[in-house]
Amino acid sequence: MVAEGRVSTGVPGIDRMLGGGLLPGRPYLVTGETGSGKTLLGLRFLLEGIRNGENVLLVAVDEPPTEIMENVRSFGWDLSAIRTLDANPGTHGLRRLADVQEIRSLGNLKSMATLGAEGRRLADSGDEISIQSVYLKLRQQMSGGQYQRLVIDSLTSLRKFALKASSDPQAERTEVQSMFRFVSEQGVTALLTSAPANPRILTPEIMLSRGEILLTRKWVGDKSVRQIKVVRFRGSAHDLERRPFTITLAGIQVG
Amino acid sequence: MVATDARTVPPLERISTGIPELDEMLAGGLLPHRPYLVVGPPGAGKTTLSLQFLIEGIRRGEEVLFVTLEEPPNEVRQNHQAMGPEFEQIYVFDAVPDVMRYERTPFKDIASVREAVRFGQVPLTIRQTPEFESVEVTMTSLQPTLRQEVRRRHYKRMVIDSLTALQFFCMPGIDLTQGAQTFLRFLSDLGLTTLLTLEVPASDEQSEEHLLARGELRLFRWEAEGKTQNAIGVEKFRGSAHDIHLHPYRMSPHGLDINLSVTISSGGIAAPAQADTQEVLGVPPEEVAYEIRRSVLNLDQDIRDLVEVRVDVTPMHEGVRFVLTALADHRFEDALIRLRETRALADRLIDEYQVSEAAEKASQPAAVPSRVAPVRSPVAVTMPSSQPAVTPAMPPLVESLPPPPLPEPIPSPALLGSTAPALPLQSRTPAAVLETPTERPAPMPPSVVPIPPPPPAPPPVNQTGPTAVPPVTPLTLPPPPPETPQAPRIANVVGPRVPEPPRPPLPPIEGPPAPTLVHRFFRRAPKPTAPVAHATVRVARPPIDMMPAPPPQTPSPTPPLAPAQVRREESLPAAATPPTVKLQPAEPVPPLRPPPEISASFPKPPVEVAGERGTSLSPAVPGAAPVGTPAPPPAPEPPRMPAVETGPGLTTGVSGTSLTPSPPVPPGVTAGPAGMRTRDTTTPAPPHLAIPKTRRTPAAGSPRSRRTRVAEPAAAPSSPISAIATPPPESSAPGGARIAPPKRQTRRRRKAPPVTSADLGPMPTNSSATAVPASPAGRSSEPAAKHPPDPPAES
Repeated sequence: MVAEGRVSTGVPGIDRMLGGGLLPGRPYLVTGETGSGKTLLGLRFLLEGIRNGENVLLVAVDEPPTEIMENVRSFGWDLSAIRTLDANPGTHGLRRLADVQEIRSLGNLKSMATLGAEGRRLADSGDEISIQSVYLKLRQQMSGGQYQRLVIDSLTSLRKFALKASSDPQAERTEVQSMFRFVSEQGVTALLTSAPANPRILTPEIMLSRGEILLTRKWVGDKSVRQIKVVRFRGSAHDLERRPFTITLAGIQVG
Repeated sequence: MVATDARTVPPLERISTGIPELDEMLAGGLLPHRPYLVVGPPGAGKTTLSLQFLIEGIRRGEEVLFVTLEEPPNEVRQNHQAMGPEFEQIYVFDAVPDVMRYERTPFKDIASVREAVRFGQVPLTIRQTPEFESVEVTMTSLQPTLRQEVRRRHYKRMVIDSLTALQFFCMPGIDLTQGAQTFLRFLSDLGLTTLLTLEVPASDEQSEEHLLARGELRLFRWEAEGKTQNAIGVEKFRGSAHDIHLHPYRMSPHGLDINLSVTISSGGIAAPAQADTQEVLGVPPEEVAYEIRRSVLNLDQDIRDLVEVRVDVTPMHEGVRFVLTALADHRFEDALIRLRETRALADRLIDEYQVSEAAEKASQPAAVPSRVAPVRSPVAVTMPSSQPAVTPAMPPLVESLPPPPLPEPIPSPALLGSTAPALPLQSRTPAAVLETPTERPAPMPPSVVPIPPPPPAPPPVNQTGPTAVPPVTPLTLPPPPPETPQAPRIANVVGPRVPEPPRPPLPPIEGPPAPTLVHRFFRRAPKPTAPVAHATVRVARPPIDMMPAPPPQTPSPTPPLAPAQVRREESLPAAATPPTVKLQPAEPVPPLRPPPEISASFPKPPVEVAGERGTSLSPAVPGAAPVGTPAPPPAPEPPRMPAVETGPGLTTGVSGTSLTPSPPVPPGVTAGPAGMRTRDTTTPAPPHLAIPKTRRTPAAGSPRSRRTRVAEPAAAPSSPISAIATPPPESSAPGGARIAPPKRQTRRRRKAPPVTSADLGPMPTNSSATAVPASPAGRSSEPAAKHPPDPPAES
């Protein structure tokens, strides 16, 4: 299914829409409202890498990794081989600005398999999260380029922390740019999930991502229909149509 | 000797975008040396479009530069390799910012660590941020770097991808809009034809930057019935007609595939394109009219020249009348056809005359022709008829002078011969100054009002003076020559000028000098003349209109990198752009401005001259109405005076302006310069003349350019930008510029490029400003007439 030189998303229907798959070594956006399936698509993408014997990394900002594991259990997916960086901010994480020094307090990478069902005690883990801290942690862990796939879930949340860290929009843009550049330089194919952007505002992630997959829901009659669309995809032909897809126990299916 | 039909019609040089359909939408292509925006949402094809533009340059043997700020060069290469083998030849400059470092690391200047390489040499893997150093990419570091790049290779086309990335990531602490504006100005100074991509949100809101560029191509992406639909439109295109419809396009591996047979509306609803091509071409009918008028003015000049040479011009007069009539009736097509015919006839007669003359006059004659031939093309005069009538007094003025003088090097052929030599004498004298005026006047007669030449004053010679000119005088220019005739000249100027038609101008010309004159006469030669004349003339305020674009001008102090090229091209464009001017015209500054404008327009030629003359003139000016006051330069002044009379206020203003500049240079000071000066002087007086020159300028490119440089000073403010871009700036410049002392001028001179624009700008204004009306006599009218045509009338 996957064309040569392409990276499969793990969903054949989406690969077809992408003209064979994603181009390797580039960062892409997966946008959609909450519950639209962004995280699932990201996990599917990582599992496809595992299946190919690749090293993959999940940066979990929105949901704690343990919750993610529970959520996908019904699909029968085995996430144990996925390395994860728990970037959930602590309960007082919003309290003050993150400092470069604090990254050291950020938890180390763990395998999903090592996470206990009990999860992390939120009250005790006051990790300060910011783009810098995540970036520095990633840099520390990824130097050497041993990862082929990366999912950051979600960039929107990460940006909020960055915003907190600097009220200067210019600085925030620069941080996002820096993050994308960093991901590019690692040669890792990355999916960054994000809430749909305001169509009237241009954000740096829209500019810098090499493509965007949009997940939406729409009421058709009395039924909610999921739709997927490749909004843009640099360097490749792609499907211009918006297509329905389903999320069932069988996973994600387009068409 | 080049007498091509092309002259008649707007001969603007167009730059192909590499997409034939888009060229068609742009009525032929982009105008050179200007920055254009390609606006659209991410992924719409902006980068692809701009790469097609560069590939087209490669196919034409040009060096082209792609500056990437957003996508890493290796990805751009991978994404677009399929566009063809030419793609690999494009030079790419990697200005993508590095990963931000939170640690302190030494900063390095981007120019010291990176330079453009061909896409074919770009590695397939991404460049890694260096471990122990930081390269800061900011607008302030990028500008000198780009300038250095452009100096290294003579790029003709450049793409900045994207301006948005520059704003977002490279303008810390700078207002985004102001920063973009500054950068656009910088690009204008560079003088390359540049595309900047600009990302906008998915919805089609207008960007603020759209106000800043000379043109804007807009890419849209809608979703209609669940399917993505792309469309392209020309949001604006200063200085040219363009398609006003949106057309759908598809992205293919080779680029944009535009479907011109269908139009599409914002809802994504397509409809068959209506056969309103006319609308496309005629979108701005006033622009077409403007071009026609300019061409007619040019033609008018040639006709006058022919009259002096005693050639039967009746058929051409009829042709011009027909053209003007058709123009008045908005029968543009008829007007164009007849204009081409008439132009061809005039060219043929000129050639015949020159040939015969050459035969007679030994070697020199030959030289003349050559000069002439070169430039010419562009604009012609506008509104000959109307103008003529207008300002009798002003008339002709100097414009003829072309040649000249500049001490400096004249690039163009024309310059060569004439200038330097002999003239010094004349130039030194006031008379010289006057000369200019004389020249023009004589010819006038053209269609509209041929005023007879009053007088006698052949003095005009001076212009020629620069070099051999004096003798030449006979030529068209009214002035005869050398002699002291200053007085006469004046007479001419003031009055109907043109006195001498009969004379055997040619004879005087003789060998060397003659050539120049001839050239001048016939537009071909124009370059030299043009500059001077413009300078002088233009006191008339009309120019103001042209000014429109001003804002841009001011800003960029730094002139373009490649002056020479830029200048030439710029000049051409300027001529072409007239329309642009219109846009900005808004302000009709009265008299005062005019002068400045004039100067601005003339700038090149004027520059030096202006300074000198200005001084001399100024005295005269004071006299104001009374032409005579400034006795010193007998002949010349008078003419000026007339002009003044027409618009007292104006004149004064003018004079004042001129004066300022002039102080520095004494009129006759240097022989070489003198010639120049004379012209200048002339110029000031008769703005009209100036206009003509401009038109001619194109032909005389090199000479004029030099002149322009000189003149520039006056226009200073507008300088680079205006020059490059369009007239508009010019206008603005003029006003302020005049005041500017010599110093500025000098700077500008160096910058050469600006000049051209200035020239163009002024011309229009002038015409509009004043003169035209006066044109009582054809002669005086000449200059005036030319001016009038400009924007104002059209608009």
